[in-house]
Amino acid sequence: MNDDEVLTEVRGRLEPARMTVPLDTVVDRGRARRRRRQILAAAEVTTAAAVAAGITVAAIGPGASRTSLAGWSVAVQGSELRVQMPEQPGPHRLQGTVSPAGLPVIVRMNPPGGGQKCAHPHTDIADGATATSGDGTYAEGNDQFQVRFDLHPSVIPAGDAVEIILITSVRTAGGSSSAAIASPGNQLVRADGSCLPS
Amino acid sequence: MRSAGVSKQRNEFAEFYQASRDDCLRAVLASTGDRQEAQECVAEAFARAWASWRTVSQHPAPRAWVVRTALNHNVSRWRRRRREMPLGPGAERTAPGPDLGAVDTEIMAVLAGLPDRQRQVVALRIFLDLDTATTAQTLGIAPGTVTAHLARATAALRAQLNRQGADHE
Repeated sequence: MNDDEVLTEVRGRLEPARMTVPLDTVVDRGRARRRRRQILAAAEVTTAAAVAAGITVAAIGPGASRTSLAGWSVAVQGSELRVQMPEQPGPHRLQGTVSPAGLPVIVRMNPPGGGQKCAHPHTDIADGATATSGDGTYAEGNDQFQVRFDLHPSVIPAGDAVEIILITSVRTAGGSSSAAIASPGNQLVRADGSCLPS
Repeated sequence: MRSAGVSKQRNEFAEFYQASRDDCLRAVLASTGDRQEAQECVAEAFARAWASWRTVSQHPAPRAWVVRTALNHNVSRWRRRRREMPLGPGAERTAPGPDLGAVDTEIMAVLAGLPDRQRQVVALRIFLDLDTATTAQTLGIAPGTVTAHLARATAALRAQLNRQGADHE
């Protein structure tokens, strides 16, 4: 056997090995990984900006509707949503406040892996567009989160919604843990929480 | 609303996956010796490739990127398991698992007899058809080292295959 024959023999004897994982499974895993990365990046930016800037509170202009809960302040003005919440927020209160205001928002708490539960739950929005933009601050002194999301309904199809994710434990660069709120603004979920067909 | 850009990327990735998955699996299988492990690691590597497709698609050798990522993932899994359970003597190398299916167990045993780096060089050269320079870049070693590993591995494989042939006669 010369060298080429040896290598050809080895190649041929491994020929029956076939990858059996479907493309959709791989794509879903990759998508979940991308979302997790976006969420953690948003959380880090949120925390870092707050630490750098101290704390700022966006003023709510005239005409805004405001809802106050224990430790919470949720304000809706047009398509703008501003939330102030304790360090350990709960999704139901936020959802219960946002839904009556007619905002296409689904709130989830600590989703496993940062991903969605459905196989094909979301719509990707065109490159460069986003359904939400926002900023937030975190105040260590009084354990308050303040975050503002601007919704852009024009890119949200009927029946879809923006997903806002609450994370109660994010490890910051300094090693401490904190809460975070994030929204992957270029992906949507079904407003009724159902899964899209595979 | 599913954008044309996303659909195009998805189609590109689908083509890449269909065309590369089996070769990547064989390359990783030849390196790790365990089909289930290899499949899991390759699936994870492809998932990471999709998560960073804009970057990976511009890579000069995307299939090598997938195999390198899969091998790194395998090492991470192995380290995690090592922390979780004590290993006995001789347990460091993954033995060929029982789920090799139709894969030739004799050739897997022959490959398992090679040192790790020689197996990796053989896997990249045989299954991905990488040239010496790209193989060296993928493994982070010098081109001359690749040539030396390949020559030694080929000699060892030839000896083992000849021995198997003699046993069968």
